Amino acid sequence: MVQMIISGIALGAIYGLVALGIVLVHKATGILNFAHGEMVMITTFVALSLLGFGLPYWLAVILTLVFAAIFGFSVETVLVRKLIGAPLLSTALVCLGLFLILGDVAVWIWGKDAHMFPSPFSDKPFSFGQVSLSPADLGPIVVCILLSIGLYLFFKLTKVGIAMQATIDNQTAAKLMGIPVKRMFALSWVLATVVAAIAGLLIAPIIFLHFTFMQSILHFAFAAAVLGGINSLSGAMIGGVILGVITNLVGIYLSSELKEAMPFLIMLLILICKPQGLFSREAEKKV
Amino acid sequence: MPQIKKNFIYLIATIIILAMPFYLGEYFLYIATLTLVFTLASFGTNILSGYTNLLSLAGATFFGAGAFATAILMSRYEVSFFPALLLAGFTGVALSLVVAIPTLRLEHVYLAIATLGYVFISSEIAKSLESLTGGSMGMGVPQVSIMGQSLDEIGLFYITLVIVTLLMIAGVNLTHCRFGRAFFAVKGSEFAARSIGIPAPKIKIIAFAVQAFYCAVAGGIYGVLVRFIDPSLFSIFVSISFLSMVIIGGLGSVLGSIFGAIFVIVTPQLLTYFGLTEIQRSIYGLAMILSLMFLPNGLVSLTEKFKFFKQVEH
Repeated sequence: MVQMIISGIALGAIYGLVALGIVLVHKATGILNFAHGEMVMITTFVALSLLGFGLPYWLAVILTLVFAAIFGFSVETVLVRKLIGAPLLSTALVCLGLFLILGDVAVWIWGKDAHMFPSPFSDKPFSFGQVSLSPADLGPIVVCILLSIGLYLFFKLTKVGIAMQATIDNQTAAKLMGIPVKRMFALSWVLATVVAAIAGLLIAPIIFLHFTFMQSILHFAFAAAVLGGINSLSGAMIGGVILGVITNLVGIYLSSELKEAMPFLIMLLILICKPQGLFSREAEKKV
Repeated sequence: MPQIKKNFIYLIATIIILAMPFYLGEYFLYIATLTLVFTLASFGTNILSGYTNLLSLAGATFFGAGAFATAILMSRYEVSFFPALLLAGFTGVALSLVVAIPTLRLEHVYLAIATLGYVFISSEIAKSLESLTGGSMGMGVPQVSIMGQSLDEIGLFYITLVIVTLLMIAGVNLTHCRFGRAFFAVKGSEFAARSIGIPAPKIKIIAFAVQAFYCAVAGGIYGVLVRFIDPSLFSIFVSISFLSMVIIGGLGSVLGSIFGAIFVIVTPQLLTYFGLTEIQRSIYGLAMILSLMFLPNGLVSLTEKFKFFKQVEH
């Protein structure tokens, strides 16, 4: 039981990271990035290739994060910048188009095979009483906690973080205050892609790396984002964890088929009862 | 004079389409029938997303449900093709209520996410109902036979042509009547529509039901055309392909639905024909992005340069 809860938290926290990227982009630019999962997939494949060249793990990780930053920036400049303020149908469809393209790109470059991906954490278990845990279980949780604290501090303490928050809150006011709004948009995409790359590095060792491996996770991440509130950064993480734990427990105690359906059912329930999510305050719609 | 010209164009188009079995080879005739099938799905999606401006990704759910309903009715219960197709259409409508009613209050982003969820869940359901759907292995679909005579490709082409034409005419009439204007009103502003007495929730449900019916019928025909279906029909790619037809062709335009279907079906099939299977998806992903950026009103806006097309449209 405890073990399942902890592995649920670990998995949920990783999904929360994916959701965090989606929320960050949506909050800052109002765009629902359907291609987020595929961006995770691409960065993880880049990491795999870097490791394939014989680079040490941590160097490969750093290079991957650099690649992710450039990748996020170029997607923003080439595709997204023209679309800010465009109707949802257009922006969502551009992201869906990107989703299709990235899927094909991955198949061209890396093929359709599933790949093993190394984990930085050993899976040698140690036990507390009846519960046996391994660094592989706890590692992702620690990384997610550190990353959350890091992001929190970034948004609260640094000048750039505060400027980004201002942009998110009110674009016009931010612009009038001399904040380079466009640069903030680009930064939010860079940040989201880097977080996505970290999530990918954590997920890939758990399940095999494959060009479709993010599709079910994307579903999970959207559910987490809706659960926490699509405009709440901390909500995305917490939503992910709640979803991870519930799904794992349902998988054991009820049925494994229901486990697959769980994210969807929870999401639908939340959408019916409290569409703005658990942790998000959103004003009533103005006409 | 314009009337004669318009009729002339109609006549030429009709002859070209009716004569297709005589000059197209078997493979290209198959593509033509496939294009007709997707025109139907594209038009249904256009009603929902183009006319009413609801971004739904649930198209694949209806399409797959229609395909499976037709196949199951025909093979397990020995219902003949037309009643099975009609029942499949109504299965789609029933499903659309399941999708639409819980999501009625949702706007924009939330609707897109929730309907995406339906696609995932329907594929899981199709996989788990092994006794009916054959699970992830899929199932074969029996050949269509009318009055004891089994139909060949040419027969199927004409049957599809008749069904699609009838449904398209019905759909065009629908968009010109009270409902059609209500769709546009809801697209413009839901609040404004409500304030002049248009029951927005009802209109949204109707738009969903129309999309579901068209997609389910398209799915049913797709099944008997391809002769094999599996749960991969319930794929987000199918939903995206419907939306991309609408976008590439032109939002809120009938001619646009047709152009979109032609582009989305014919391009990948031609690429396959030339041995470039790998880049199918990215081709229409790219086409979608490019048309959104440079041709926001779709391929149909190109035709406005030619006067006669404009006359056909109206």
